[in-house]
Amino acid sequence: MMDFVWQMSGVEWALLGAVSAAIGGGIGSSIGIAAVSGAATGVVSEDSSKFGRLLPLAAMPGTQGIYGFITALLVFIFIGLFEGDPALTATEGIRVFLSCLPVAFVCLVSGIYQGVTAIGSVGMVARRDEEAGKALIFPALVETYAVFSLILSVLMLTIVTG
Amino acid sequence: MVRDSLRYGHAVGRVRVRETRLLSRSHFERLLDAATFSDQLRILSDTPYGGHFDGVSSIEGLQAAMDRVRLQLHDDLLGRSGLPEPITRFFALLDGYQEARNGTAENPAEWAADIALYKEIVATAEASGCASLRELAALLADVANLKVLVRSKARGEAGSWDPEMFVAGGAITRERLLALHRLPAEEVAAQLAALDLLKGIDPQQILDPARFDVVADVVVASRMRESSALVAAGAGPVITYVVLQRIEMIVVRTLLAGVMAGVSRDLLRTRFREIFR
Repeated sequence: MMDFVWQMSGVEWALLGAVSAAIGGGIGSSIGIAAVSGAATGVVSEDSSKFGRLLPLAAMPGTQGIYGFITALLVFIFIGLFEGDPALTATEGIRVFLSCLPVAFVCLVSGIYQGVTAIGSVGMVARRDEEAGKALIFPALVETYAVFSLILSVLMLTIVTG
Repeated sequence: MVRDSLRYGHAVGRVRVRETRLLSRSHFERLLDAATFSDQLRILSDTPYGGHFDGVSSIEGLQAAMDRVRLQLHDDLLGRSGLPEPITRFFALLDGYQEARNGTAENPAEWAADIALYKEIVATAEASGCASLRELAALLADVANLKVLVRSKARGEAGSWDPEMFVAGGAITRERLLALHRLPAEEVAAQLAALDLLKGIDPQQILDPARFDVVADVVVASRMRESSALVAAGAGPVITYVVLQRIEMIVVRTLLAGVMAGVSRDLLRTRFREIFR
């Protein structure tokens, strides 16, 4: 296994980074959406008029998956994957890989916890319709760190692929 | 936390809406002040109880209607929310107990028969791995033991009791309960009022078994409410809601039956003082 890791080419390292970002964000979003959707469907099954107010809450953890996808796409663009066979040294590839880690980890965790936070917000909307606006704020705070990680990953990618 | 959110999310969502439909203190006040049973039904018509008592004209009919409401709660919420089996089983056991005996056993022989069921309830909670269910089981065990103790003292019984007459699983040990049983009634009430569980309750209320039944329900409801107040998702809010709903049903049934039977409003108000407070 270690031999395989040390023999990986730069492009393979870069692709591993892209895949990690996409997988981390995707998993975080999936679990987050599943968690909040469970509560939202429970509310809607009792009071279908709340569907519209709950939809933004249920969709909110989905952004982490988008950030992971964007990061993976940027890796492909920055290393020139769409323009033919990219040439990257192992060191350059590892740098690209490391650049993807903020999104891979932060989006994984924040997606899940945004879903958990949104369940509390679903409870607020279930009790009082007029609280729907305020209810969006708390899960949005969790989003901040996913946005920071995306900015960091994009900046690092820009710098390391120069 | 994440696993609980996934497991109980749907049920929590349903419960959050249903909590808004629980009867308020003003509903209870109006039910108590209503002149006739028909007036009470009109008050209940815009609540989840509306329509369930149509055609009811006797205490037996009222009890049957209330059993239907309870079964509906069990089938609809507990049975169709994807809750783990031990939770549905726990409440099914409580339902079975309630159907078999409305109220607490009046004598030690009846109580002995109930102990086996309480053992099963506590064992189900223990096996569930659910902290909220274990907390509820422990509370119910304590409350059941205290009810038996209070009833025994109200009958003027003294001396030592068989330790097996108390349900295991509560926070109050059997030794403590046995020691309390040996004391005079007034001292028992004073010591019970000093318990963390019954803090702030008037000792006179503790000594009256009928009033103590209400106090005990309020204590269980407040404890469960406190422990799940800051929990967004998980078993706690669901279990607390079911407990509150069941207590609400008992109060509604008693108020309806009381008015139907011509029980004085003052007596009903005294009995439910803790709820109206």
